[in-house]
Amino acid sequence: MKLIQSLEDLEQARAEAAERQKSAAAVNIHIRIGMASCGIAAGAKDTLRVIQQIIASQGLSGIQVIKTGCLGLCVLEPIVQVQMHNQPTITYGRVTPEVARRIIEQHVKRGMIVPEYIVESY
Amino acid sequence: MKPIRSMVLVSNDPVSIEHGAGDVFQALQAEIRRLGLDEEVRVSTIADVGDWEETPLVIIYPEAVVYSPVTAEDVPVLVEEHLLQGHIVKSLLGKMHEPVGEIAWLRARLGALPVQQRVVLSRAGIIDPESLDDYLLHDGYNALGKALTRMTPAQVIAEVEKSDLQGRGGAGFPTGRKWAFVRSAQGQPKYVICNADESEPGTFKDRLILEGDPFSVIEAMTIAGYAVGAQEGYIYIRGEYRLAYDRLENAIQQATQRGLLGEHIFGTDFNFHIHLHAGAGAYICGEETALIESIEGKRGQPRPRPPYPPTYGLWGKPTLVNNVETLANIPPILRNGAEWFHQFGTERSRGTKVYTILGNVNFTGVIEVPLGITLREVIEIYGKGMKRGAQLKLVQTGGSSGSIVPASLQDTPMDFESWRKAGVSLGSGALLICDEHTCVVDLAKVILQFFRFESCAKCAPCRVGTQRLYELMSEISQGRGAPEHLDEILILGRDMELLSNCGLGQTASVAVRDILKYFRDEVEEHIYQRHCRAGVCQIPGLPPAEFSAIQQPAAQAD
Ligand SMILES: Cc1cc2nc3c(=O)[nH]c(=O)nc-3n(C[C@H](O)[C@H](O)[C@H](O)COP(=O)(O)O)c2cc1C
Ligand code: SF4
Repeated sequence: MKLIQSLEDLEQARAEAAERQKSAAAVNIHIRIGMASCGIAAGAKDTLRVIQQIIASQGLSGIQVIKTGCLGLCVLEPIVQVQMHNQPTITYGRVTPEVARRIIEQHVKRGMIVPEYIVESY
Repeated sequence: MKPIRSMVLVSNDPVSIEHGAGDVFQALQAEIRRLGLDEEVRVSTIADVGDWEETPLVIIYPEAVVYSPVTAEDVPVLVEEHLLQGHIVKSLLGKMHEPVGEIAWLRARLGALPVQQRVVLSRAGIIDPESLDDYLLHDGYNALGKALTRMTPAQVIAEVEKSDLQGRGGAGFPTGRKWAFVRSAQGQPKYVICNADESEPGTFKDRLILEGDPFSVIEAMTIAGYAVGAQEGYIYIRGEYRLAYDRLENAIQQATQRGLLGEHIFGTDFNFHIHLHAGAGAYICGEETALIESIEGKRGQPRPRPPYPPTYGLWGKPTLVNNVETLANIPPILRNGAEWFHQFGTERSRGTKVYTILGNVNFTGVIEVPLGITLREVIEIYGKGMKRGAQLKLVQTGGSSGSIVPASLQDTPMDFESWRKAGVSLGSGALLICDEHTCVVDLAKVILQFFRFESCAKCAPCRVGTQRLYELMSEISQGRGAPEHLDEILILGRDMELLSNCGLGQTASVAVRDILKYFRDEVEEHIYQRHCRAGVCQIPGLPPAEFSAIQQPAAQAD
């Protein structure tokens, strides 16, 4: 990758980064999962595994799964955020593998929010 | 990313849902999206709305206006008028009656808050911390680019000074001034150290930044290096922070690959390298001079000061030591200017503060809020109230070396200035919230146990003092305390404050002192009545009622 040697290079690098992210199979659904220590301790790795498995086994496309840090909602970990087609992000808390399955089935596949697990006021 | 300026809450209790809250929620989302407001306005739900007849409610912050009942058809007007034009839609306002529940509290603070304002944590939890691409897409490296290509080091320092940023590592020292000291200090080479030791019990704000947004710390250190004239930087990271270590290592590697670290950064003559140094589990190594000794490969014990690190630091050279959170404030300040930074916080304490909330509240975690909000607000809004509706008894601020704040002081604004006046240290930003089931004697014992263990034993007042204080508290907690113990504690504590070599010994007695100031009667109960009102201390012997302090000297009762 090119070195960033000036502000113009920085802009260029940013444009390329955007391109790379977009071209990743025409992504229009972003699923973010908190993978800081608190999330991992609360079982985020299991949640992540389930999400990836469902996506792979059902051949769902256009979904990007992003591992992030912590939002600060540590008691509610594992935290999963879903952003579909540029709509506002919905934040879910205490997402066990079971809940993750529901979120994928209901929200990601059919666009229906799963209200019980929505995190308030974030 | 724009800062969030409004938050819209839709009630989603069962009745509201029956009345179509779901449609309202979706309509709000769609409308906000349509008008391109979705970056600045956040829509969420709220479950406890108290006893409102006309639901669903839509509450909009920061104005704390309650609209009810709202239907999906009302939404376009509401969004257009309130969120776009900034007018309150009178026709949709909820009928005024005594509000209850969560709303009552929020109404009382009309207009004041409570949207979290995120400067330091704006990216944490949002971006992929292992991807430089993602960082670049969220304003990453704009600040460094601007500093290196458009500003002189003196201008960078001037901007930081103008922002009035104060250190977030505990002492609250003005950051710009510290940078200027290091810049003007004699001697080469100079060093920049990021203090990521974070061992204060109950504090994990720096970890959140390091794990969630490691590039920001790297970028900030590079800016600091440019400003003070250093080419080498060290991150001293707490040994247990393995994940943060790995992410920093990855960030350093990626930044180096793209020429954002190393030689000729941004095509200039400026070179900067960053090294990682993991601690080995000693709390004292967070103290800046002990930290420096530790990097030098020596035993981690604080040096006598002066000289201070800006003139005599790592290997005797001028050294800048800043906390992680302090550094994380730097890129946004340079990107947006000092003036922008002044919109957060109060006149004398600018900016936001990241707090870790823990203890007997319903919500524990990390928040970033403007300096100057009150403890009551933290507990009620962010902590979502006390667990099981218990009574607040006290809050310990700033970890073990912090102060004890009784419930009666919970309305003091939390900023450096007001708290200094009230004799409270903001410290590291941990807020340990305790309810009435907490025993102050037990709490003091736990705190002193920590200090007696962590004292580096270099100087006697601290080495002996922490041990003796612990013993005294321990005696009291077992019903073997004597009245004169209390004086001994106070005198010993004062001596430690005056005579210890470093902050550890100087602050080890703060919590006990505060406890004797605010909760003396409860401590005395342990001594005279051999009774622990919280029921925590196991006091052997006869039931407390049969003891009367005067006739039964506690010493004989064992
Ligand atoms: C016993 C002791 C422990 C400390 N631990 C930390 C720590 O873990 N992290 C930190 O940033 N500062 C810690 N400090 C404060 C540092 O000595 C120093 O003041 C701080 O890193 C300066 O950074 P700032 O100006 O950005 O606040 C500690 C101080 C003492 C006395
Ligand atoms: S005050 Fe305590 S920790 Fe600090 S140098 Fe003295 S013995 Fe060590």
